[in-house]
Amino acid sequence: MRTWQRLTALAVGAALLTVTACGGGSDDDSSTGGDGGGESSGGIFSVGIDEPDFLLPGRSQGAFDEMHALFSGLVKFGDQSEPQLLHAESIESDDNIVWTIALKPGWTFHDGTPVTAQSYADAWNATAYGPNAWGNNAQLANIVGWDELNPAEGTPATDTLSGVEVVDENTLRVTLKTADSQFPYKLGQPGFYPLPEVAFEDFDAFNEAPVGNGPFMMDGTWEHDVQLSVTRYEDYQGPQPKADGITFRIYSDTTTAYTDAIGGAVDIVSVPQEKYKQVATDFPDSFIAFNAIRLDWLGFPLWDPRFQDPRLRQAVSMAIDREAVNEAIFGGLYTPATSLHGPSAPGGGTEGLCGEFCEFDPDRAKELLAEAGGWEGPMEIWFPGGVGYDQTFEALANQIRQNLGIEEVVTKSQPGFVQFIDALNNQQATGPFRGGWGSLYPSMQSLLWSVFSSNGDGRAGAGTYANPEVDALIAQADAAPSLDEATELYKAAEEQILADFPIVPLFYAKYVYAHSANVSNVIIGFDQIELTEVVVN
Amino acid sequence: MGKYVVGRLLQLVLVFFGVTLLIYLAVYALPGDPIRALGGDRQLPDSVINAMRAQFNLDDPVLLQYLKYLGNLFTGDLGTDFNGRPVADLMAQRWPVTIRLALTAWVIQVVLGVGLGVLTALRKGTWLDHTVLFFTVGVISIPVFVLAYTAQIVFGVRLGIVPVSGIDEGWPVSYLLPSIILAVFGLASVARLVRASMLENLRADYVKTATAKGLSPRRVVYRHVLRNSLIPAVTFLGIDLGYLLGGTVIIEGVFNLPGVGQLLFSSIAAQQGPVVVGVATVLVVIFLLANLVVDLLYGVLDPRIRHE
Repeated sequence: MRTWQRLTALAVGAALLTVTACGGGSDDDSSTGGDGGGESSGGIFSVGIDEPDFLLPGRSQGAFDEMHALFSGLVKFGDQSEPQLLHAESIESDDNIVWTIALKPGWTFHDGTPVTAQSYADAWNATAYGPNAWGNNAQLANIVGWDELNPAEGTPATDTLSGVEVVDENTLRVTLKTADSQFPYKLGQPGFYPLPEVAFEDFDAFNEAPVGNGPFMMDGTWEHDVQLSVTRYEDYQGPQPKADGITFRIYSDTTTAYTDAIGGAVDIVSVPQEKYKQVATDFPDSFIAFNAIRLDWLGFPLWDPRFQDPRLRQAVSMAIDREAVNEAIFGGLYTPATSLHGPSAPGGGTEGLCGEFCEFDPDRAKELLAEAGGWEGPMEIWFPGGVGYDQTFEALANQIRQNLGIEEVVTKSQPGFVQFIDALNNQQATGPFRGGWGSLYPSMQSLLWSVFSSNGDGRAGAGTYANPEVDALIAQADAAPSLDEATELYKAAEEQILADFPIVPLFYAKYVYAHSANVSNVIIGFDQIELTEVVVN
Repeated sequence: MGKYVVGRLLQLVLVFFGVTLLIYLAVYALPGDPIRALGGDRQLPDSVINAMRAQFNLDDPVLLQYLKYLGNLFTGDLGTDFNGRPVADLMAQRWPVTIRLALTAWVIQVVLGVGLGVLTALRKGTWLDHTVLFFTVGVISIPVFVLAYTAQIVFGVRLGIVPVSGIDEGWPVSYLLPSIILAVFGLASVARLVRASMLENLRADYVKTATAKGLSPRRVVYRHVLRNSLIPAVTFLGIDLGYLLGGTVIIEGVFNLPGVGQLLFSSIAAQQGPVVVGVATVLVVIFLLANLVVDLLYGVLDPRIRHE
């Protein structure tokens, strides 16, 4: 149940608005002083987490902080929206189809074996191999040979991706099925991490105590539902961590983790939504709300004839007072959405693209509804119950009832996320529904392609919206010769989507973290906590 | 007596099959596709979904799934959850936590509940009686999570005399506060049951007879009245032990104790059949055994009740 919450909470993306540190002043009081580069403060700090689903990078769909402690990929983001080379020395392509990746030499896994191009190729082959049923399989779907590893029926005839070629010990050549200017962004996802040889002896055993190539190594094994301890890896070739180790304390209830942080028993926690209103009081100098690339929206069942008129959808949008909901539910921490991408997206986002339709104007909303032919009978609002959405969607239902003059607006709370997803996949939802997307890499491509293209893996969230023009613009952006040109084309695609108005953009969501006085220099970015930067006071 | 116990134990075996089948059917009947939901907003590729469905036998008819489950059970394989963790490991790790929590709470209930019950019955109508009545009614009427969070903030965060959460400090320190919260609800019931039953028995003819025979008041109360008054309390405590073992979801969540209550809750939400069936079956067996012990205790407490 928690995995998807974390997953969607992990929006990756953002640029200009980097860290919105509230209060601040926590950075300079450490004893390290100086420029702070690579100096060790020593000490061990703790982070409150959910029980991870897996620690194997190709399988793990939720344990992002743990993953970044134990493994290092080719690129990272931190609080930048451009990929920063981590283990990669260069990532280059002339045509956005054939990519050559050079590795920095001298990197080793925690067991001392070298991290080579083969370590990456082996890991990618295992992740992409359908019968392994690893959760991050789809991250590799655009590499040539993926289709052969994932046949519709039966077992694949081969177990390697033909599009991944090991040129020499430190060089990989990857051939993609279609041009993808955003490929370097995608390399930050766990599906692209390397694995040491020892992993292939027994994946299940490896999962209990992974041997990674990251800044920290396992100290003992994964104590399920209790904790995970890691210590500094002395031979790490990337930016040296400032602390000596981390204890990831596992909580089943995020509210308990939060209470524990107030008591000082855990140092860094992700703040649960129901505490947004009081976090500024409980952690006046030490909470951080980071503008991730994550959008919350209201989707429509576009398969239902009653929702065909865009004016009806725009009317619903204009009937919602986003500011009021933000204050009442999110303590004002979120930002009301005026487009699909907030200011943290590459190129500065697309704020305002929605125009008047994302403004609160009940009179205009009623007019639009009348133009669209009005509404008869109850309007049902669908969302998964009991997983943190109840309050928000009650509030949205009230807004629509009051401001649109529809007498019967009822909430159709589903028993859980399983049933909710099912209602979307089987096109059973009969009214506006909860939508959300956290981009796993800070490119506009993630949301636009996954949710709004006709073959995206998240298109159920937009009520199976499809427009060939949008598909074409996204494809052009994917093939664009430069990132700037790509960004412009993605914006054009977004403009077209908002003209069709398949969804009601609601909020640019954030990652909200709080920390104790025991640690400082806590930076939250697209990779969640910058673990190597944390200083133990 | 021995024959009675053997008979009851044989019933257990039948109940075991019935219950596992029922729970299996119940989990199967839940709407929604648990595998498809694993990807959240992101659809997993069909190849991945198919491989996982095959791994968990989800494409078989439900009865065949159940038979496969039973077959594995007899080879000692309880299956795995969707993350590949053996259910046996999950239970081995979590049952001890819940058992410690439940037994600690239960002992507090027995000692304080019976003690307060006797005390208030003997001091009927005094300020002590009224005070206990007031507090027990007051406590029962507070929702459990309100009491739990409040106690956590006061004793864990503000006063710092017990850990806020977790089991790092082991038994009894980590279990003290959650056990007390858990116990106060049953405690109130036990105290009131014992009190009412004692008052009734104190007026009984045999008490007059015993007193007339010249027995000391202490002996009359403890040897005769209390013993006869315990039957309703024992019934309650037996069933309550079962509830404590299975119904501690809220307390385990609030205090972050990795026990079976939480496991059951999250497994039902994620529709992890093998985990739900495994944990629920053990719970049912515990319930049945607790009931058997209660029935046997009746005979010990009241010689008129015999199990032939």
